[in-house]
Amino acid sequence: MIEADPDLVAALDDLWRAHPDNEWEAASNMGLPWIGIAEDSGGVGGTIADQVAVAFAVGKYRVRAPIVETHLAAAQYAVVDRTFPVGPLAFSPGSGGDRVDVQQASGEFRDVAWAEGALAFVGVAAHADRPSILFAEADEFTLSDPAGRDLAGQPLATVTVLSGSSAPPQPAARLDHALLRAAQLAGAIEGIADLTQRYTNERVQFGKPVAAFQAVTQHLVVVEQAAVASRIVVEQATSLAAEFGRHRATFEIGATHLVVDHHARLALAAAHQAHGAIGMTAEYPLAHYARLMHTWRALARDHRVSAAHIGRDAIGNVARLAAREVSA
Amino acid sequence: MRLKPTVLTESERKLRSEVRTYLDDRLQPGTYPLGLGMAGAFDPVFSRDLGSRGWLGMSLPTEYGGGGRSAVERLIVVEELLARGAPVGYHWIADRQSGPNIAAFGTAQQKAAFLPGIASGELSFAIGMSEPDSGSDLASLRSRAEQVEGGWLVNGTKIWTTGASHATHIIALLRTGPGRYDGLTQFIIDADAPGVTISPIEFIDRTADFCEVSFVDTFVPADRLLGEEGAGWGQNTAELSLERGGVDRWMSVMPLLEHWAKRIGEQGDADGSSEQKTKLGSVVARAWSFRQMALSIARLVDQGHSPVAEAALVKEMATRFEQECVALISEHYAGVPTLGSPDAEEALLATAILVSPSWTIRGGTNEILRSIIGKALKHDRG
Repeated sequence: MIEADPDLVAALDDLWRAHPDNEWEAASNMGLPWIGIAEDSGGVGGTIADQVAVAFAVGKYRVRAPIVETHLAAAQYAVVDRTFPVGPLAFSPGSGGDRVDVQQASGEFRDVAWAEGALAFVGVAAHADRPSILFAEADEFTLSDPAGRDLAGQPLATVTVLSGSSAPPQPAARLDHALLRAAQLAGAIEGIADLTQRYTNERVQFGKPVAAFQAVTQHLVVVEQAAVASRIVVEQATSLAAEFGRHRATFEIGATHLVVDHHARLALAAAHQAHGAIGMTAEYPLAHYARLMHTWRALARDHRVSAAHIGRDAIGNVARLAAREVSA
Repeated sequence: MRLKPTVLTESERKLRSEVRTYLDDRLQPGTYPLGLGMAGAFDPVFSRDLGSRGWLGMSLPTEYGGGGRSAVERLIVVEELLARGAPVGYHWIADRQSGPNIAAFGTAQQKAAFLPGIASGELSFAIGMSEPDSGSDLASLRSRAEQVEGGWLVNGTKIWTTGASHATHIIALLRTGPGRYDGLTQFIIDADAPGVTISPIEFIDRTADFCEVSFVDTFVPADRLLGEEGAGWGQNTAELSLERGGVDRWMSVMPLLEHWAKRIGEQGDADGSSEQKTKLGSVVARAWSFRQMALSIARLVDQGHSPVAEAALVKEMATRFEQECVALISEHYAGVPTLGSPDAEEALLATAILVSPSWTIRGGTNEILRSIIGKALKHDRG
């Protein structure tokens, strides 16, 4: 199995547990967005497992900074051997609402996270008649609604690429997006599992901690199941992608995203119910998690596409697919 | 709690391919009654065939006829059997539970007497735990064994004993003293011993594998006491963790899923097929995730751990997943499924619709499992 560097994992815990004021600065000083990109491509080296560990920590510590987005965009620059601007970047995996003219390398990408202030934008023209990837530097794109904000108050805008450049599609771009969003969600589920366990053991009603009530235990079990199931699939898909290449782990990455998305919904509902009213207040940590998790789920909403793909592949092959072992 | 991912080794993959080749030939579709996971049909000939290939009692010691193999290797064989809805009923409990239980706690003489027969598929076991007044509160059980010359005299009634009517032996948990837990002892009892009456209880689908077992002055020789007198509770708990963590907790529905997928394939791109493909894809993704967890638990067992809470955590959600699958497949079934249907797949769906509530009850109700998980959580994250 290929796992993240334990020193990196420890450093991530140390960094985010301290809640730095400027989250982007803290992350970029440590080179976090560029982990998993080779040094000779302008990155800082490391494996996919290391990059996934960064995304997991972003979720676990509910970090509001474009770390995953910058990585996804920079990685695409690296794939086509171009130099990426060192700073925050924006990325879109492409959605059905986009309108892209591949010939002109221009078009409109909807619901792009963190485009405000980005030094460059990379978008996958997933639904164009000729799939490709568009690159646009800061003066090559505009934002139609610069003040747009997602549920967590992070920038969200429609990006209009005026005249960028295009490159052939890289399947890894969308796979990476699915895997890193799944890792963020799995990290957030781990975070709410800790939070919910702690709160329900501190909160006393009817003379005992509410965790002691069977009805509340049931919610804690659902959250824990989500944490265990999400983490193992993220780690499995990551390890297989690192060892055999993302493309060979397409099923595992797609399945991971579906499984984690499913558990994110259940875990959040159970955590809210276990917390009661306090969890509904704006500044309580669960609310911060909730806003981020809803956003990350929505940003990867076309996971229905991978569900349909997996469904098609499963015809005549259900048990074999569920028990698939990837090999070289 | 945390389960780490694992993959099959080269030799494990080789075993899997051998099992697949054999079963593809031995169990050709339409030549055997399709079953729902561990509730597969009773077929002693099939069980002996598996035994002769070394695929029963795999983890038992070689000196007693076992395979001396790992929990992961057993999982590989079981996974292939359940994927086909194979007739595993005759050997299931002996292979999964009673064999490892006797290997762990039995005397050399008991191991010599029972393990070779379990590994060869000749012996069939049932487990006598619940009683009319003791279910989830198992330690309140009252069936008793009283010491007499040369052995024990057993009186009482066990209920919901799966497979007792086919079993050659029953491992019963009995009261040998007043202590709630330390007054309990396990015994290996011949199913045909004088004073044993086995009465099938008609199950919801009209089958008769579910039994009441009554003991009236049944004499059990002293050498049939399993493990230590008064240690039955702990032995029984260890046994349940073997029961809970396996692939059998999410694979009962596999033949049904396979047939649903086939029907979707036959619809081509007809209206609604794309919605069904999406649902099927989500289900397969979750099935894959359960396999990762079951495999991880088997590795932990092979490394000498006893992942009791992890196994409970997986069983609690995997059995609910199985029920969701039955609901989903039913929702997309055009027609009224009947038990007597000449279409084997339709009859299996009808059975599943009726029996699936038992999946979150047998082997520890989900409510009991949640309290086990809750206690572990307090320790883990508290």
